[in-house]
Order: sequence, then C-alpha cells, then structure tokens
Amino acid sequence: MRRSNFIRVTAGGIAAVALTQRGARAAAEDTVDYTLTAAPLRFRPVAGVEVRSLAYNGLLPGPVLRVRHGQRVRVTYRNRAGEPTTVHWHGMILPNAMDGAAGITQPAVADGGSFLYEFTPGPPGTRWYHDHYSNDATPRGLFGMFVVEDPSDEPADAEFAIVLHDVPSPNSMMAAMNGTSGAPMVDPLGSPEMRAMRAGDRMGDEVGYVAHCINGATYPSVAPLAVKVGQRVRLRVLNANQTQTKYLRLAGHRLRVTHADGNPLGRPLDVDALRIGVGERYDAWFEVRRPGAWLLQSLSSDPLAFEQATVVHSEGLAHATPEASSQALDGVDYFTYEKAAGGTLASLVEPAAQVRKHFVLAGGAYGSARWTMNGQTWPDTDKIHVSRGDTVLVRFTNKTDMDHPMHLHGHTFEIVEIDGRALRRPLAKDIALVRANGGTLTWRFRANSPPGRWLLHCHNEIHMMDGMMTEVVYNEST
Amino acid sequence: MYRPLAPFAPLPALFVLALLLTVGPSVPALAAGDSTAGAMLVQSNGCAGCHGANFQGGTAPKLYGIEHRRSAAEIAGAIANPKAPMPQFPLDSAQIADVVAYLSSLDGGRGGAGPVATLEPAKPSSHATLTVRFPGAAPRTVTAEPAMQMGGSTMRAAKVTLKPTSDPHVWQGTLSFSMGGPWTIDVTYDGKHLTVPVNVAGTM
Repeated sequence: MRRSNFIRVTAGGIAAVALTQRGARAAAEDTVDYTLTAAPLRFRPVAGVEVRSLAYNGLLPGPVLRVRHGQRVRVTYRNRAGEPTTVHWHGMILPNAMDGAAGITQPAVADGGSFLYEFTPGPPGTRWYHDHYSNDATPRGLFGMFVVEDPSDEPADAEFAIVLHDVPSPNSMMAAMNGTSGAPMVDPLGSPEMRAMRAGDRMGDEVGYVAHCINGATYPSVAPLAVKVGQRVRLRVLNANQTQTKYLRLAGHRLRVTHADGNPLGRPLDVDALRIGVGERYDAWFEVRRPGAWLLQSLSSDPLAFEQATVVHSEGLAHATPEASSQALDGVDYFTYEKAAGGTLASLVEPAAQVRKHFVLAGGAYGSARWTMNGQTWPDTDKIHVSRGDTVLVRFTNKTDMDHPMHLHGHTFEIVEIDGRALRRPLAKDIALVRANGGTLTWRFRANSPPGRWLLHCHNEIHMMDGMMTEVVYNEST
Repeated sequence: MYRPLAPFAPLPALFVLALLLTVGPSVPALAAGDSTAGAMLVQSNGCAGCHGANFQGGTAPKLYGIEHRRSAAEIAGAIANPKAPMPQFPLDSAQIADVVAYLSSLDGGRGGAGPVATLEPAKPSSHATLTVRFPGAAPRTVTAEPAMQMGGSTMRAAKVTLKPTSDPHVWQGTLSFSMGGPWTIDVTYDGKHLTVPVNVAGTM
C-alpha cells in the first residue's frame, strides 16, 4: 500500500499540524512515498516583512512527515532551489548513503536535479529533516519535522507539532560568518546564556532575526491548538532555529517531558518550561484540567520575539483572552539534562571504551571566522576512527563563550558526564549542548550503525560553516 | 522577580478599587505606581512587541500619551481584563499600577510636567542619541547611564553627561551600547530619576 503525503495548507503556514495517528491499517511492511520539492519562497511571516526564503513543497516549515516504525519511506527529492542542496534525516540511523551529507555521503543535488532517498526510518520518535549542503539553506527555510511513531508509546488524546524558527536577517548571517555581526543577545532574562555574558563581550557570531515563528507564523496568526477539557495532549517540539537556544512555556500548566530528541527518558520529568538547544526535540505533555485559553510562548528578552507564541484553548474559547507567562526565566523550573537524568554523581568513573577522543572547542574570537576542534577547522580536524561494535567515548571541553549544540549523524549517543559529574541515568540523544566557558560533556555510543562516514559537528550554522566539524569513520574491514 | 499567578485568579483588589473609583471622589484613587518598576515590567513582558518600539502603535494600539485618552483605572482595567488577542499577563494589582505609572509618563504625564525622553534611532544598534525635554524648571545637571540585567548581574555602559541644547529645557547626549539586548537607561537630573527601557539591536 502506498500513500502520498497529504498536506493541509492554511494562511499561516503549516498551521494546525494536529498530528493524527496513521492507524493500525498501515501495516509495518508498507512503503510510504513522499515527494519533497525545494524551491524559493517569498515568505511573509509578519505584515510588512517579506523575506526571500526557501521551502519544501511551498511550506515553511516543510510538511510533517509521519510513518509508523517499521515502514519504509521513499522520498523523491526534487531540487528547484536555485542552488545545490541535500536532505539530511536528523536523528535517523540509516544507510550511510542516505544520510544526505553533501560531499561526504553523496554529491550535492544540483539545481534542477533529483535524488531518491529510501530507508526505514528509525529509531522511533520525533526526528527532523533539513538541508545539509553546509550553506545557510536550513535557516532560510529548508527544514521540517519527521515523526516515526513508536507503537509502544502511550496514546495521546491530541497531538501537535510545534516547530520554532526565526527568520534571519540576511546581512546579519553574512556578518556572523565573519564574526562581526553585533546582533542582539535575546535570551530571556535569568537564562544561563545571559548569566554567561561578561561586560566586555562583543557579539560577533549572533545572528539577528527579523521575525519569530511557531509553525511558520507569528502571534496572533499562528493556528491555535484546540483542545478539550480532560484531554492529555502531546506536543512534539523542534527548535529549528540554527543559532539560538529556545525556552518554551505554556501558561498555567506544567509540562511533562517524556522524550528528548525522540528518545524516551528513563523517567518523565515535570517542568515549567523547556530549554531547547539548536536542533533538539522534546516531547512534552500536559493535561487540560479546566476550560481556558493559554499562551504557548517562546521566552525572549527581545520584545519583538513576543510574537513567537500561539494559543492553546479549550472548546468554545478560541477568542478568549489567553493567559500569558512572564518573558523572564527567574524562578522558572526549566528542563536541564541533569534534571532529566535524575541528578549527578559527584565523581565520574569513566566507563570502559575501545575508542576515546577529547575535543577542545575553541575559537570564535570577535572578528574571526574560525571555530575550532583541537585547534583545527574542517576538513583538517581530528577524525574518530572506529571498528564496528566499539564502545566510543567522546568528550568535549568548551573554551568559548557560547554553548555548542554538538550533533552526531547516524547514531544515538548517551550523555554520561557533564562538567565532571556522571549522570545518574545516561540521557539518550543525538545532539547536546556543551556549556560555554569551560563546560565539559561526554558522549558514549556503540559503533553499531551502518558503516561509512558520519559527521560530528556543532549544529550552530555559523560555527559549522566556520569549521567546527569532524567525522566518525568506520574502518574498512568492518 | 517572577510571581506566579494562580490560574484564573481574578485580581480582586483591583476590581474593588475600580468599583470604588466609580462610586465617588471620597475614595482613594488607584494606588500610585512606581514608573521605574513599571518600565522593567513593560520590558520583561514584551509589551513593545505589539505596541511598537516607542509605544507609537504596531499590531496593537498606540500607548504613547495614553493617560490623556484613558483614566488610570481604565488603563489598569485593560491590562487586568484584556481583550484577545492581548494576553492576560501575570501581573498583580501593584505591578499593574507600576505599568500604568510608566505608560502614563511617556509623554510627560497628565500635566505634561514630567521629563520626556526620546531615543534616535528608537531601536539602536550600537549608538543612540538621547534627548530629554524638561517642561518645568531647567535642570542643572543631567546624566544617563545605560545598564543591562544579565541574570544575577548588571552590566553598565559608560555614564554620559548630557548637555543642554540651545533650549535650556532640552538636553542631549550620545550613548553607546557594547552589545545588543534589553537595556535600561537611568537618567538622573537634579537628584531625580527617569528610567528609559530600550532594546538594542545589532547591525542588521
């Protein structure tokens, strides 16, 4: 049985995005056919703002792709973007040739060309897809959510995709690549990002954003989330902003986090707000206990970013005044890796491993276009050579003044250490923030993915383009 | 400071006050708010996002000079019981009074007696010219010190001494901001203070 992707288009972009279960009639041996066409889009996120963007199938964000775990997908990718692009399936463990890393696993798809991506999406969970030609096509619009349904998940009464992204000012992208942007610091008051700032800091690598979107629209035109009293609602949240950590809050509710990057937590964690690094995904649930209307808001110290919000309302209250949260983080209990892991142990006993690699993350001086790993930039960075079955430990020490969302293609790793302390319960992820100003973080993973070359890089678009990238290479004999 | 608001809790004190205000002149007026605290609240709740950088209007109505068009109780009521899409912000009645005091001071207040600060450009990147107009007696000294709250600490930029223009009631100075973000400018004139919130953008 085949099905084509069905996309509901509304004025606000991929509005609603109420995620419906594909249902039991989709048997595991099905193949799902999708066609993704990348092309330019004149994107109007706010009245009076029009930005030359890129989009899949005319939608920004791209369509939510959804399969049951075990189904195969066959994605016909048509590149009409006017420039070379690829599609990377972020968080998927798949044949190396399907990974979409231009110049590593496939040549970039030229403008006018096509490529057939065919694989069985997994592991189950909230994944995503985006361009990987190492230019700025992802922040300009080539991204979307990809849900791989887990049959063992508790069913939700309602489910929604929440994709956070901001529209970059083209000039500030260029300036950020040169390390001279001076764009504003917009993290919420009370956030660790703000606390890490020092008086003399100059903002060289921040990207300035001209609009702040949820599902491709801004408040009050984002399609609201219509829920019913008594429902248990699942949000699948993606931070598709390529440079900024986001904080997301639903007024009047606590959020129960069950999955990080699509992978189940050892135990669910209840928080007031999500902290979502670049490229991270969280599955967060809430229960509708009474009638009302509430704002689901991304928090920021930039008043213009207030527009990154939408309404969650119960039946008949679509036009009610929504309750808001403060934009500041002071006193707010937000998600951290340590809390999700049930805390830390004082001393770190380093686990046994066949391969160990330590990367010092540095560079990023004002006016510099170099972000380094052990003093090198891609392609001269140290590579990690593994044999199939190896246990691999990768440790990062961040000597820069910005967090780095480090991402590994084609694997799920466990965070086993943060700042010299072992996590009580390792946290399974595919991207993780390494704290600025001396923070450390250790990943552990088994080299049991399909052999090939798997990129490992900072997912901050500016840092990646400026060289903060290496790769895990499977030895030939394996 | 973050003060959680119980969901759907009305703001009883404010309602009572508003009711009392309609009864007669013998009742006390709406508690006078602190405009400095109000400036911070206006900034941390993102009001300018909809009401415009200088509160001259945006997707939501103009707030500049609002005290000439609405009574303090009406302004407070609009914040306490907003109409969608304006959200209900987590502010208690004292905080709402602070916000009303700040919004009512933007153009010098009801009698036009207070100083009025304007920034050019309204959303600066690195530098901005601050102009303060004093309608009453001309001040003797005026200083302006930009600062930005960063979590627990406060970062300060160079304090600038404003100079009188050809009009002794109008003082000017150029401020520089070392980085983008939410700044407040503390204007001191003859021992009195005026707080001007400003959101500094980068080179865009």
